[in-house]
Amino acid sequence: MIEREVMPEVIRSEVVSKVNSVMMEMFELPEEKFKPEAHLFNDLGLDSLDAIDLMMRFQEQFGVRPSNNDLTNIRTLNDVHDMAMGLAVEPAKVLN
Amino acid sequence: MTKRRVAITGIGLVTPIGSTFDSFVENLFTGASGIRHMPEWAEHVGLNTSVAAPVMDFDGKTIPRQQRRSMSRVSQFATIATGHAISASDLPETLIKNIRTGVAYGTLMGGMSAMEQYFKGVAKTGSLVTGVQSTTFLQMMSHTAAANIAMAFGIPGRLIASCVACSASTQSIGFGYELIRDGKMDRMICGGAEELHVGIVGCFDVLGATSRGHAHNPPASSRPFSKDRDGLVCGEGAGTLVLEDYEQAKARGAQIFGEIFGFYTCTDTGHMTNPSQSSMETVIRGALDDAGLTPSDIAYVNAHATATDVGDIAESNAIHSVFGGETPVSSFKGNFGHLMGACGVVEVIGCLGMLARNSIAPSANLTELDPRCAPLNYVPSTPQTLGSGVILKNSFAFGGINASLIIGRGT
Repeated sequence: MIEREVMPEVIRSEVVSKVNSVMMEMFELPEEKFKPEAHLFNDLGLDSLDAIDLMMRFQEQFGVRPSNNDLTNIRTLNDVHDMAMGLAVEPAKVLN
Repeated sequence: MTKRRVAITGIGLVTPIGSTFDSFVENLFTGASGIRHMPEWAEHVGLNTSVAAPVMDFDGKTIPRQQRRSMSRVSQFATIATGHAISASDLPETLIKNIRTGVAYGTLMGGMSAMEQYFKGVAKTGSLVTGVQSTTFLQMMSHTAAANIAMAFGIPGRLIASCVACSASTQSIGFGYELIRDGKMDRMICGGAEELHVGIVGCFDVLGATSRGHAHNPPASSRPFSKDRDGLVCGEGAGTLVLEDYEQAKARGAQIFGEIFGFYTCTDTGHMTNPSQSSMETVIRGALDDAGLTPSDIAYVNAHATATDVGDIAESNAIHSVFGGETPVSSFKGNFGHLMGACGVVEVIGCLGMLARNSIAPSANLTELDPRCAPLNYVPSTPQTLGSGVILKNSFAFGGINASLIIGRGT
């Protein structure tokens, strides 16, 4: 996974914005819930089926499915953003 | 074994002519039509029919997302209708979420729009799995409506998903009735749902079973028993009944909309699509026997009568063979077409509306009787009194699945 600090902040902010936008639409959640520390299950109300669909969406977006290792550490929205950054070998893809 | 009485204590529906009991019944008696021209079907080359009975202005988003994600349109209809029925029944939460409460609910074949999405993904990518989501199966599966209802309302008892096409919801009511009557369950949430899908319409169309001649006047297209009928009109919707052990319903002070007196179902093994008069007679007589009634006890027959050539003729002759020509007979399919997996229960709800008014709504679009149909009392233009209030309801399905219910006023 690519370390957050080595990515240009401008790209990260765009990735975060896009990921949040996709998740708001997928899970019909209001923007105010999208705080980086928000827990996917406890704060956003998602469950295991939602997590699978999110990974499927990432696969569509990046052409590669997150590995089990990637998923093991996903707890918060910030973790999702990190994963998206890591998958975004070509960061512009996530901005389409 | 002592047979318990079975009361109807809740009614809910979503239909092309109204989604409250009062508006639906009023529209039946005023002859309102839910049948419309479908210009968006013009892109489907080879489709001959262009009329249908869709539910307009339906908003499935009133269902919470985590419930809705496993629902195709058919399950959304089922869930909304069931919410109305449970609300009407005034069942307390403790009885809804009781192991003695179950679900019996049918559809034609599950969630067709979800299947369409799946196959579009296959056509686009060539992969049989790309695009499959966590809830794809849950939306498509043949018991999607029943399972989604149980999950949405927390109903833990027996679940029966009767997916026998156009007899699905009548069977569901019958199976629910039997479980309560025989003491296996105390309450059953029963009914059926359907979502309009051009793929299903095409399947009936290729058999020559759909109406083709009324694009410029859709309300005239579904014409049961009429000499100039030209086929069925596919529709969509849902209907739900709350059935309860009669004594328990009375004890809790429930409003009783009606009572199930009898049920029978059997299979016509002669042909997959062409019904036989003799098998129709068998199911009608079976329901009468189950209810302990004779033909003279029946005040009115609500026919399946889809406005197809062979179906109407066979059913009318079966009715005549059992009842003679005096008993009033009509079909609702002139009003809202053929609701497929939902037709039986929605038509039972129409019968409950007739019971409430003690009157039989006239048959829409029956202007000149097909002489090949038996000479019955068809209620062609003006309402008739319901008399004893004991009603026979028929449903027949491809695959030879026959089902008949006998219902009446709850006293």
